[in-house]
Amino acid sequence: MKFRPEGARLPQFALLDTGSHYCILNRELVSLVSSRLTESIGQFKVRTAYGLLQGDLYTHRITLLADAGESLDFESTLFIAPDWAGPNFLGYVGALDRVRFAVDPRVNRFYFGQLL
Amino acid sequence: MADSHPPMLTRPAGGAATAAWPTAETSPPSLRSDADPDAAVDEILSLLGKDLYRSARRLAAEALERFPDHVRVRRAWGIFDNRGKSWISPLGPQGSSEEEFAWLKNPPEWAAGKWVALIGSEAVASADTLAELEEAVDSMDLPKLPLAVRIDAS
Repeated sequence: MKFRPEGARLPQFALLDTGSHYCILNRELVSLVSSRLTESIGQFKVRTAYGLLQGDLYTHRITLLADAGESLDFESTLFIAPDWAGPNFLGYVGALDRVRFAVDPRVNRFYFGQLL
Repeated sequence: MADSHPPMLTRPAGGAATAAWPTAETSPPSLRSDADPDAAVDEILSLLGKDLYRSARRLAAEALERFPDHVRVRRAWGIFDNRGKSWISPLGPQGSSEEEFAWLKNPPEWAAGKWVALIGSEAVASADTLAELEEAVDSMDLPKLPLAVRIDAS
């Protein structure tokens, strides 16, 4: 999935994971957007496949970029953990739950639109 | 969807990042009568940290009802409130990603360990860091927004 968080110029790929909480950005992308982050909602620890991570939750705008049709901006909940060394993830809570979406696994397509 | 999950998400999906949707959320805690708003937010975050999403959501709704003007409580409720939080983007469609995917399946040796800006199957810029790549692309006159990708060193 192509996406771009506010504060970055270039889009990147993110792994789409409906089984994940929140959005997590790779370390270099966090550096780019950090000056645009508003005050943390709070700090907490979360279990991940890479171990226990401590970080902060933020509200931050993200753009989902469409191949065709309309791209979508949404207000996401980002989990920012200094020790996260993995790739970008778009999770369910505070991210995909703000978007109306469908997946067609046969052609590996992700359809999305505005959730009114 | 009120306070329940879509049927497809009632069991952990084996996610690579964070595990979601625990199966054992029985009796959710209620906000204590003497709880202050900051303690309520800390409790909400603590429940989220334990993957107790539904309990955290219920507590956040209670906290919002009791402390509707408290900034932290409102922010915490924002984690769960998904109404009216998406908009059509002015960026518009970006075209198919198939050429970028094809390039990524077999990147050239020079790209190892680099950040690369791709338009289709063409690498229009590369750099050691993402910040340098963004700066390089910023000064270029390009037909569309390139995709930034990091190629593993090995």
